[in-house]
Amino acid sequence: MEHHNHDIVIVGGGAAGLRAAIAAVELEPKLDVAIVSKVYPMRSHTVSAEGGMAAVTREYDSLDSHAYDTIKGSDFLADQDSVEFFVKEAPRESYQLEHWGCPFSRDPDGRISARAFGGMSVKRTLFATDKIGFHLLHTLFQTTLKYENIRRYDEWFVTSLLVDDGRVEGVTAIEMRTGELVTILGKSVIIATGGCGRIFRFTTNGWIKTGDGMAIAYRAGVPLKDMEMVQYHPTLLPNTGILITEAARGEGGHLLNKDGERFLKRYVPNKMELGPRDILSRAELSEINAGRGFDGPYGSYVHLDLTHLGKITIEDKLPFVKELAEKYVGIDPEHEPIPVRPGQHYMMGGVHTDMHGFTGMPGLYAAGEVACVTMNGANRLGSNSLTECLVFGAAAGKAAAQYALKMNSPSFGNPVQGEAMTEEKRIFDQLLKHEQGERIASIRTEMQDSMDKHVGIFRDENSLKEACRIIGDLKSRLNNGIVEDKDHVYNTELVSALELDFMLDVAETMPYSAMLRRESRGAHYRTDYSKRDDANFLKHSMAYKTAGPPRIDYSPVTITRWKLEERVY
Amino acid sequence: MGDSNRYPELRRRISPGWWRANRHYAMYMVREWTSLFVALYSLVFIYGVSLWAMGSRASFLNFLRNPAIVGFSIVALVFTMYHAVTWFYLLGAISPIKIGRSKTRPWQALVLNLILLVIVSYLAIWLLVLR
Amino acid sequence: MGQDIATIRVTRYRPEKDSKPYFQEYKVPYRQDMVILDALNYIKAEIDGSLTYRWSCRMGVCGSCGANIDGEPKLTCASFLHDFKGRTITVEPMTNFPVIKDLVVDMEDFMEKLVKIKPWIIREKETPPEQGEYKQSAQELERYSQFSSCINCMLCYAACPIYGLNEKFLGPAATALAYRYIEDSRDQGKDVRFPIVHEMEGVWECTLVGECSVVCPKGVDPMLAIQKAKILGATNALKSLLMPRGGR
Repeated sequence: MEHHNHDIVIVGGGAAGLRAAIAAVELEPKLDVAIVSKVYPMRSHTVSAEGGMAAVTREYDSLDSHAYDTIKGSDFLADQDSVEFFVKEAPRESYQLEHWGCPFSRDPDGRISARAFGGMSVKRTLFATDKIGFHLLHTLFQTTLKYENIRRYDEWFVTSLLVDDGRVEGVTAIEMRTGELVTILGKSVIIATGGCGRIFRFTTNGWIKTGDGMAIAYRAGVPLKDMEMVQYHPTLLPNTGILITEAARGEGGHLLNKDGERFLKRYVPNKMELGPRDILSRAELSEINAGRGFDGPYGSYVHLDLTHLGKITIEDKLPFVKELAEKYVGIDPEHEPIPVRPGQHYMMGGVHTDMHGFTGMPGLYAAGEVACVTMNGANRLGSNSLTECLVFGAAAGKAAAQYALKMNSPSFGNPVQGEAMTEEKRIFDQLLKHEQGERIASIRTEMQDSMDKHVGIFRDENSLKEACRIIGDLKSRLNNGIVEDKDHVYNTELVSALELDFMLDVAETMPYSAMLRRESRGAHYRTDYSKRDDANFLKHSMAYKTAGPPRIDYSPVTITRWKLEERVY
Repeated sequence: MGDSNRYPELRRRISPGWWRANRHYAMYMVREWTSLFVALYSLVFIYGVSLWAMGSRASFLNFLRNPAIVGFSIVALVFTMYHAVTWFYLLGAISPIKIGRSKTRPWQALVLNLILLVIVSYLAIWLLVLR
Repeated sequence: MGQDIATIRVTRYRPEKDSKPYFQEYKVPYRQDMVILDALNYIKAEIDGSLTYRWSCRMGVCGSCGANIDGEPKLTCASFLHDFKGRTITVEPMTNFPVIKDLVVDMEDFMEKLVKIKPWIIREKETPPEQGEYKQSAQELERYSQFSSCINCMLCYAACPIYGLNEKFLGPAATALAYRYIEDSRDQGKDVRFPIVHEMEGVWECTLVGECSVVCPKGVDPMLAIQKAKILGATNALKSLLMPRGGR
């Protein structure tokens, strides 16, 4: 089998992966860094982020304020030392991004503009009209092009981690162009593959967000932390699930129910539309359930009203929102309210890491949405995740580089070669060869529908139990699934089948973790245990892979300076 | 990275009739063909002016009155005007002038330049012929 | 009456089986707000799992899903079925690119051009980020912000007959990106980029067909960038002729 050798192998070419690559080669220019991505890096889902990235840049702001907002936003599940590290590094990372050319919007004095955002007590969200993710991703990607030692494997699909004696030594990946399985060895591996939103039917996430990195780490023995913490964003367009950024509310937009009422005054009277996302999503759904929503062909919705913002604000600060509303729902937000409903958007949970991106397994690091440090705890504040990618991407890059400098290159012998050959058999001799069976698409749709229904915004013991049962059933059905496309060259159906395999593994951890957390905290809301229970549940759920259902263990939350309090806005 | 040429990509050659695929392309080709008429007209005009330089103004004007030359000049004028109009429009698109929050539109540059063209053309005709 | 049906004619080409491409027709249930991508996803999920195409964000910002739809380069996620005449729509891979399989084209030429123009901030002296941002005014931002909106979808290359005739042509997106960096007030790399942009296969190949700007889904207007780059190149050449030692 063909094999390649690099110092650091980064799986995933989004904001975190690209930032990690740059950090590694800046630490030691002689390091040979490989970025392996199943899409060309400009297609990474970072590109769709719209609102902005939070950092303390103004005199009216303070690191403590940003930290407190983040910790309170997380419903006190965040590890406070990681949050302190995050807010401290955030300003430097923002200015570094600007130095690399990111076209931020500017204030009259030439400084980067900042806007208000949900859960933030002051204006600290730096923005680039309403396409920060696009500009951030392209800036980072174009900057990586200047380093000769950053090599890329574009459209290579990683299928597993190779582990020797508890140490990660590389990955197996399918080169899409030829269909060959190839081994890519590295002294250290950084996983930066993003979240797993496509486990759900109604999500802002793109096709590629299938939890690949979470699954391969999970299968290698790393626990997935806080997987019950799924963020539902309040403003998605019905049917398509296209994201309408929180910045629309940051610039003054209102959420209205059927009676034209700004209903949030009954849920978050102090912050109103700038409350945290979990509370807003629940509020919207409560209004809809109480019959105060609008009915549409794609489900019920509420209104996001931007008509009072004026032409200039919308053109200067929210042009992409206008474009999306006009194109996909035929509405001009200057004159009509936009129909929105809540849907899956981000995973607070993910691969367990410390604040340097280290997963605990020697040689393996993770950063970005795929990782759970955790700084977002039970609910993430909007505009924190892009900064998270930069801060922890850089940290993981540096840590992986320091580790790689100490280690020798792994060799392509046993057991790694044996693992790779087994993997090849699994994919090509087993999965690809089935001549009859259930279509991949039907198993996938059933998973997505059940996750939406049973592991949604409001959960209870029965719905979660049902989800556990359904996922278990789907997993065995996938064993008899059929991949119709038997080609080697660019086989997207085989990749979809492997992604579904990953998604089912990752999806399983969610209801199991959620079932055992008998409280409501942040985005995890149980109708049967609707209060937060710090005495019993101030801890992180850790899901470990077993031959059967996941084993859920717990780890403590790090508290430093901020005392627990009731989370009221 | 890897032997990615086991099955080479399918290369497709652009067909000679590519410009017939849509209206924009066809209009572009017409604009390019106008250069032929501009070139021919320049030769004709240089010859005519040389008649004036070596003979008299009358011989130049007689040359211009020849029906074949008149016919050709009209055709050349149509093509040249087509080129001028598209060119002025492009100038407006490439270098808009900013006024407040809005920019000048290409048709405004077109109108302005057409007016200038008329003025300059009249001056040239007056200098050469009417005087 | 029965359900409303649309017929999608898609180019199929599978290198392991086919010596040349052919069209395959699929019948898809028609909904008013469907985009071509929805139709392709329906076909792949319900009818033929081997249909191969790229997509990701489905909201017109990742640039993956370019194709020729009824002869015009468009994003499949942003092309509504109701915008096309009739109920039969033809979907082919983007023109001017080599085809890998079905609608997936080879992008390596563009990726090489991207690196060639050095799309990063080049400065003589960098101040450390701890000291804050490089100040830039809204006017300075406006000089290049339009050209920074390129999503690398390559519809402009599919639309450009010059690129079709000469693969070495630098092309719309790459030139627009080079111009974006040249005009960025924070960049000092004009001298490095000018030779690349102003070589024969750079801007001077462009004969103002203008179709690139017509098909661009993000309003980047690459034709404008190329012409502005030509003006910069010409004035630069003139300046160095008249003032060989000084002035810039």
